[in-house]
Amino acid sequence: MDFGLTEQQKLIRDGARTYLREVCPGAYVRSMQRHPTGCPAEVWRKLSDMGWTGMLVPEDYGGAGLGLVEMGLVLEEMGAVAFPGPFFETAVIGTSALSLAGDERQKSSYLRRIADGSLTVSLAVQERDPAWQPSAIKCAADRRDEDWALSGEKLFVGDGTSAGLFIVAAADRSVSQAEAAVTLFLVPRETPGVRIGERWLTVDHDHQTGITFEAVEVGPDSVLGKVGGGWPTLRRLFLIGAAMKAVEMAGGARRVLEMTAEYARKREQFGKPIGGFQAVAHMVAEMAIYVESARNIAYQAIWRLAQGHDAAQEVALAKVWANEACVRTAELAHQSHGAIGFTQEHDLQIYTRRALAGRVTYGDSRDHRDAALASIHL
Amino acid sequence: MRFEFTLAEEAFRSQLLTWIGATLPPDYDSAADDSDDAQWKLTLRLRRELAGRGWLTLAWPKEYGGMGASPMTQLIFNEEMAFQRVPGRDAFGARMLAPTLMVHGTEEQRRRFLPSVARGEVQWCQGYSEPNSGSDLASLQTRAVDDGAEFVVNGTKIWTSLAHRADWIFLLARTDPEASKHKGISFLLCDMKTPGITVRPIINMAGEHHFNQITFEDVRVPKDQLVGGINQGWYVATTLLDFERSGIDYVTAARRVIADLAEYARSEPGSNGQRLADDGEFRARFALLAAEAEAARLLAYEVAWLQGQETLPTREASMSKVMGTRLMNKVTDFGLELLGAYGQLDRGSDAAKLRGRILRSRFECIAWTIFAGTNEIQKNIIAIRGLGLPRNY
Repeated sequence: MDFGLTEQQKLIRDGARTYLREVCPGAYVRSMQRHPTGCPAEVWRKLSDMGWTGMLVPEDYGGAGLGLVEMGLVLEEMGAVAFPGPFFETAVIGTSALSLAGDERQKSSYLRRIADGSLTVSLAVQERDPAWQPSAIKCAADRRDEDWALSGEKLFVGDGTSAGLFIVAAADRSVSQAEAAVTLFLVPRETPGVRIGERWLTVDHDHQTGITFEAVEVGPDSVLGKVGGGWPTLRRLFLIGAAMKAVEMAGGARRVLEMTAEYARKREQFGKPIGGFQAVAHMVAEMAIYVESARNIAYQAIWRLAQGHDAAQEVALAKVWANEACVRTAELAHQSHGAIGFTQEHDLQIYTRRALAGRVTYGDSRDHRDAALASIHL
Repeated sequence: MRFEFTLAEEAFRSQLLTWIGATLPPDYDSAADDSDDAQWKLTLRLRRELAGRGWLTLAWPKEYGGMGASPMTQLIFNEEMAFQRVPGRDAFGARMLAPTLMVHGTEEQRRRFLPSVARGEVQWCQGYSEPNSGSDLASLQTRAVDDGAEFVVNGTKIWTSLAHRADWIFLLARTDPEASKHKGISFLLCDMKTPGITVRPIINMAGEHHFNQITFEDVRVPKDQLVGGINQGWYVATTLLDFERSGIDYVTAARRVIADLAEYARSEPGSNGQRLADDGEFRARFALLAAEAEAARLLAYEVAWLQGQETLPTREASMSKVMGTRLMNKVTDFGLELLGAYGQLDRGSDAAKLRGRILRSRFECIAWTIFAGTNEIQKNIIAIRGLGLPRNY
């Protein structure tokens, strides 16, 4: 067991912490809620220049070739400042999808553009039944000779309002077995027949939307991975997404703990800091337990994934616990802050909203239940 | 970052498991009342076997005849012994008194008291709590008065586990009633056969005899049984010791209960042809408990890792204690609900499931959030020492 970081990892974490704290105060988060992509071009360029958008991109394609643990350190810090924008979908999910399943041409074209900051990517999987199961994928992929026609709708498409490239999960209606029917397609935003909905009103003020595909014609070179081989890739993306979301959530909860401890040290009632009352101090202590435990279990999952293990159980346990721990942390923070934490002007609500969004992103606890139960043979 | 044990650590775990498999009697009933005499005999036999293999003193430095094992190796030992529910470990002598003597004892005291502990031959108990001194331990009132070559001890100790089995007691007594409360306390070693000591059993709510009340009436303790100097007792008792204090026992007990309940849910026919294992509500609750248990386990691992880095994980150790002890309460309570009407059947009922253990454990772990520093005291430590909040008591 080793809970420590290498010197390089410490540098990555410290660099991320320093930059993100500077660029992303509460006022920035608020202004990005009205921004079309959630990230101004100059900030995105900076993320690319620092090597973050290409962190997981292999060096051969212009990236840094680093691993999931290093990316987790950046995401933890992004969670700590509630950093908005399409980074997660692009640099974590999009990159992983292309690295896992892309052919040489796809990798060479798209991974380079992710690394150089000229492309954002979004995964379009969930539909009316948002369960992460092959049977929930109803968007149809019909063969037209060599080509395919995609028809159907995708919901909860993260950063769908601005992504340049969609990774779309669709099912071949001529294949009866649900899992074998799933194929992934790379669909550029401007492809005819792709109708991108209005930006949704969401708890996190993020950039989700729905997309409708009206007989969208795509060629064989749009298939990501093997025809009928989409589900194993999606499953891996689901695990990566859940583990990385868990560490991002833990980062947010850590910041909430820091804010609350600071408030408890400074806010005075009855002539002394409220942190001097055990009723408050014990809530803050409970938060610390949630934060530390959520962080550890998230990194265990990430480390197992980074080692190339399946890690489905570790990921499920991590996401289930992060879902619980981070929302409980938010509740305790509100109780400790009193009325001020309930205002829009206070940053606490930003984190509470994020925790509630994170809880249902890359699997809610129900989606992860069976894998978590496999760890106890149930 | 590495979330796996080393090959050497895994080899040690295998060796330990092999020994447990070969040593634990096939008819061993870990659900039995461990205050029974028969159970106690087994405890003593296994303790001597552990001593023979050097595992009783796994954590001791080599210079004192120990194996000098790392905190992580100690954790593995404690984790497996707890998961397999093997009796025989010696908390008071080998894990608490011995390291205290190594740091604060005289050479003569070490020579006199350590070898019998290492051989597993002497049972120690700990005389700290008093009827009026629980969380506020430093307010203790047991007096030790200087009478030349001896101290004369008068007072009452309570919640003393194993006092009725113990040969010796280490206790805190007030030697200077004028000094501020932390500065007038001394750490004494006392033979339980000394005239003036009376042990009265206290039966816990589970009906078992673990702890006791001890009265000291003019008990004479030779001065060479004072450890660490007069009025230094608080310092001696609270010295942060190197031995593993990860709290792994708490979370491991809870993990074992989860494992037992999961097996039960798989094997028992439920209602209307649906197994308990297929019941949606129980599955949801099982999943959350499994996640919490994994998180608590990693917190304990983190404490041991930090200790191996030569840091003092005060805050993390308190977190682990709170999380592990609360988890045990949650899982045993869940267990009683899973068992439904059967959950009320105690050990000895023919129809009891899992030998009535869940009910026993449900009671037993009520003590866990209280002993070794209540969870409220632990949260004060986290808040004050870990997060810089003002002292609140």
